[in-house]
Amino acid sequence: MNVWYAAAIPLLLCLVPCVVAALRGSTIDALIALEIATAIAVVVLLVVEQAMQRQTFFDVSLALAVLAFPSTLLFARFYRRWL
Amino acid sequence: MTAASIAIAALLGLAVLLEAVAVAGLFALRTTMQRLHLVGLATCLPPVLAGIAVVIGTHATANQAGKGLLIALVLLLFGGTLSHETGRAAFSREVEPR
Repeated sequence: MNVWYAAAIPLLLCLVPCVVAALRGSTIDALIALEIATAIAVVVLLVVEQAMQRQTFFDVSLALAVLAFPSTLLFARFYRRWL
Repeated sequence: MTAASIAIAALLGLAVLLEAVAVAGLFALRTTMQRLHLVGLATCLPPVLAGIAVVIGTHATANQAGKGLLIALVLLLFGGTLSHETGRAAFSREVEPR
């Protein structure tokens, strides 16, 4: 096991408390947990790409980083106005 | 063990530590406004550290290094905007509860 795998495992474990916080908290706390989980998932994909030497994970992590921005922004605006 | 591998291990260890602190803060901090600071902690520093680790990684080609830095830059730019918009939503709900 190289250093990239060793970094990916605790990062993956960090996603579990985010899911718990998203399920147990209020709507805005769930949104905060989702934003943190997205950042962790992007870093996990970066690290796993280096561990497995698969360049497609780079594109997946880039797509996740770019697509998470408008979706979270839209949900925050939707929450502020209508929910 | 080369200097590059030591630097990669240190950068990745710091990135993991910061993400773990951000996740622990979700349960340790009490109010939503306090928890909002964790978004900046999770989105700004760890992706940049991981991107730098990718750049100095031994197998990183120029294409990989560029994409790694681009991902870090995207998160660095968008993280502040997201936390600001989430803070506005939380603040407006506190001021005008429905």
